[in-house]
Amino acid sequence: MGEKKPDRSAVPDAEIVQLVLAGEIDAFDELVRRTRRPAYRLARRITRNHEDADDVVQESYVKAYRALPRFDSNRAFQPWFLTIVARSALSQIRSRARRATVPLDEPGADGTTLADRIAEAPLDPGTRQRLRDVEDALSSLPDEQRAILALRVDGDLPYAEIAAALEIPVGTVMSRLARAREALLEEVEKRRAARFRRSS
Amino acid sequence: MKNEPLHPSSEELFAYRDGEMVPEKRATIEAHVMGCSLCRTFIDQISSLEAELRQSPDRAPAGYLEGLDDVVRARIARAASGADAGKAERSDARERRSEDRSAARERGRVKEAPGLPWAAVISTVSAAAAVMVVVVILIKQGPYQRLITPQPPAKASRAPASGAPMKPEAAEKSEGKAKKDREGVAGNEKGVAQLQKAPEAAATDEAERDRLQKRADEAALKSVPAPAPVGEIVKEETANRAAAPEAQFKAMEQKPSAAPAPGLEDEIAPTPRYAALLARYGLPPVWDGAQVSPEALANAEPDLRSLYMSGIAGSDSGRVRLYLAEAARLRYTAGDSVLYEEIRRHYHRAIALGGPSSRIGRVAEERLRTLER
Repeated sequence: MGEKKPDRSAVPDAEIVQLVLAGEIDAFDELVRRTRRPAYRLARRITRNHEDADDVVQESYVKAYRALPRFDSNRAFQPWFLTIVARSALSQIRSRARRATVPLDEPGADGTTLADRIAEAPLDPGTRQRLRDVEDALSSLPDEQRAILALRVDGDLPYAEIAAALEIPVGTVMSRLARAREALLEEVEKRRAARFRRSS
Repeated sequence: MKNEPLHPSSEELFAYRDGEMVPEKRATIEAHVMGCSLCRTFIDQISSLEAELRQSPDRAPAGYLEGLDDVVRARIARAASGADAGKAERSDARERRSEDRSAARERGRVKEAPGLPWAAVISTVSAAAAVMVVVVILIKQGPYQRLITPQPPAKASRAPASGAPMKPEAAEKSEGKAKKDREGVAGNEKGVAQLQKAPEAAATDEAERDRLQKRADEAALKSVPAPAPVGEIVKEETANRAAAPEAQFKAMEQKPSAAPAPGLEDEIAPTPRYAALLARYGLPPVWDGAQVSPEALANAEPDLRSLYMSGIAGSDSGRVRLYLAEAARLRYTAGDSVLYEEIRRHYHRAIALGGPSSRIGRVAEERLRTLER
């Protein structure tokens, strides 16, 4: 209990994976620490609620852990892992009968809203408003478009990885991503135009 | 833009902006974007929106992410210790679903407990009544009828048990009803059999789901496209390093060695635009801690960002990402999670774009290791 864990923050992913495979299961913690934030962001954007995102993230780590013997250590861990997260998240939203979402102004699991968080962020008022617009617009997009944008923006995944995650050809990734971006822009502009009309 | 057929499609513009354009088209699109303010604006708008999304604060409940490693470790330990070899292959989600179902059943039992005797009585009585009805019908319509009912004259053989005369149509109706009832019984039996089979079917479904999930995970592992020959990579990368993810992955697959081969982007001379930008601030082609003054880097950052955001960094993207990581690092203090992720993302992209064996990749990887969370 009181044993101090070794600091592995500077150890490359590949070495961590080897440590885990050699039986040092605790080393997996470091992989979790490195990827938990983007993984949660991606899962949250796709599922749109904390409970499902939490399920997806935990399940993805267990899957990744089990698949680790087949992981190519020459690759970066994060993109590979985010592909698993994306698949799990998509499977989650497809299997859910309900489409529970937490809108921008509705409290999340801890009672705070995204709007609160944006308001608390160290940003100037203009940036805050832009953030609200774009988050709101993204949230209004259909699952398919939101998912592909999340993979690109939060996952920072190249097209080939997105194609693998969504099990679609790269050409479809290109067209779907383009439609999603156009839709996002349109939704943001709608919100900004409405605000402008209200203020003038 | 729609009236201008010469504009590239959105797909092409975005692929170009994302560094995913096929080499053959890249130069054409780049030439167009350079000279077309409409297309540049369009790309800029999307880039800004995405930058804003990346800036958005986390929505995780306080303390959730910090405690995630403990939760995951516990789940892995539970899955590893409690499961046999077969179970170990199962998705943990299923275990959880099953746990949830048990918990729900448990909850249901507790909740339903006061009403349970009545429910049991009603269901028992209903079942008994159903059995009785079936037995009566079978007796009335089956061979037992002859055994237990007095044998009437031949003419009255089709009379109902009540003894009242029955018209042939009514008798037919009665037989029809009996047949229907028999079918009903058979149907019920079939239903019962199906219900009994249901757990088996569910198990098969779950096994199928597991198999698919396993295959999906394996596919994820194999999701890296087949690499192109190295010579081709260099050739392609010379034309457009960012355009061929296959080549990038191939480069990523090559482990850095003690004497690494020159990386892909290392072999491509910086574009005049990028070189001019660096010259303006007195910066070397690739970030180098010893040669870069923080002031110069801070001053250059907006221009570097504009170059990257406008999507025209092209073959300099890896270098630009490395510089952006270092520029962001000047503002970074440990604990700033948003900036930390941004810096990490820049380094990862620099490694991916430059190739891990390139100078850019190696520098980015080293710098990433020293980035304190």
